[in-house]
Amino acid sequence: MPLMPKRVKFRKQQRGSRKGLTSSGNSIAFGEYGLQALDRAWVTNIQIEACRVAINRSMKRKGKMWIRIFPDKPYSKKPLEVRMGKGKGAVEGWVAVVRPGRILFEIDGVTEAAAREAMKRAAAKLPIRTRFVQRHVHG
Amino acid sequence: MKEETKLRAESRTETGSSAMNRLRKRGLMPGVIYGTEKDPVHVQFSEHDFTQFLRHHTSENVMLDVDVENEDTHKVLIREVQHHPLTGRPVHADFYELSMTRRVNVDIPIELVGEPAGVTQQGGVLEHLLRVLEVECLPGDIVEQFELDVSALEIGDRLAVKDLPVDRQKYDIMIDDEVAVASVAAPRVEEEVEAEEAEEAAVEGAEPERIGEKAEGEEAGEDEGEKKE
Repeated sequence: MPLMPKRVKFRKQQRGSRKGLTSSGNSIAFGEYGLQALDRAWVTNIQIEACRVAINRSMKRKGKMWIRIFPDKPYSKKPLEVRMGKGKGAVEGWVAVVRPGRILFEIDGVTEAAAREAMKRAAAKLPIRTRFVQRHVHG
Repeated sequence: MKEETKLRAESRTETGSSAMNRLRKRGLMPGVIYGTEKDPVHVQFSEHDFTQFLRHHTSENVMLDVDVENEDTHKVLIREVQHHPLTGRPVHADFYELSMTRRVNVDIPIELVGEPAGVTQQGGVLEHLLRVLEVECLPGDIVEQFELDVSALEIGDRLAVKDLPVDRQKYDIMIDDEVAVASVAAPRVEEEVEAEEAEEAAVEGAEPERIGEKAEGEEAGEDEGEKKE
């Protein structure tokens, strides 16, 4: 099941700001390899789920993975052919706000080649450019 | 620590992000030297030299001599290097001035050596649970990393801090001896996980619970009232 919060204080949110670079979550914390975002985007819970499945299938039960983003922001949408006004639309889905530099996924327990392949498959599911990163190797 | 290196630096009077960005455009980078006894010294040095220096070491836990032009030479330990989140370039370095007779607290990386039997023969997953060890020691005893042999580990086995080959007379370990450093976990059974997830996915239209559900009911009543008006 795609990720979403269990409990929320408010049903809908304003769009907020996506500017700047990520202020946290920009270094590898758990695994040996990671996938770093180079662009900014709203990454949906369905895209995150697709990445998770792609990584797990690529690693074939070996290794361990961490998802470093969580879709805690609801986005709303008005139905088709509805005039403007009459209040905010219904919640359509959940997104994680991703700014450049954010580590999206981490992997450990597999070879570098296997990790690169898994991250390549995950990156293909995302709407942004990404980069494969390793612990202790900057830039 | 075996190796000692020299870094040429100049003292700097300018501070603040705008001035430092101008500095970085000139191929320099800012740093600060501080210690327990003296006042902090702001320095600037070549970013290229510093990057080259870091590339030749496996960790940033390195002792070096910072030769400040027209001033003293400081024997320092790299305490922190800040990197740009996207480019990875170093943007600032903290140097901690050392006294060779005073013990210091340092974080030393733990490197796992060997392939565990539980991974090669039983298909388990090696988990590296503790990556740095905080120790107190004399500056001369600082090493770039501690190595831990994990080749004998089987599925379910684990190694703790007490198993590290660390000379306890030289190093005071600042963490509990029973904290796990590495373990070998059993492989995951993906089919079961996938089946469970497929069942969960079938529950469509799931919505998060709202904090203060009672308030929502009241609000809903109010909304309806408003609409009627």
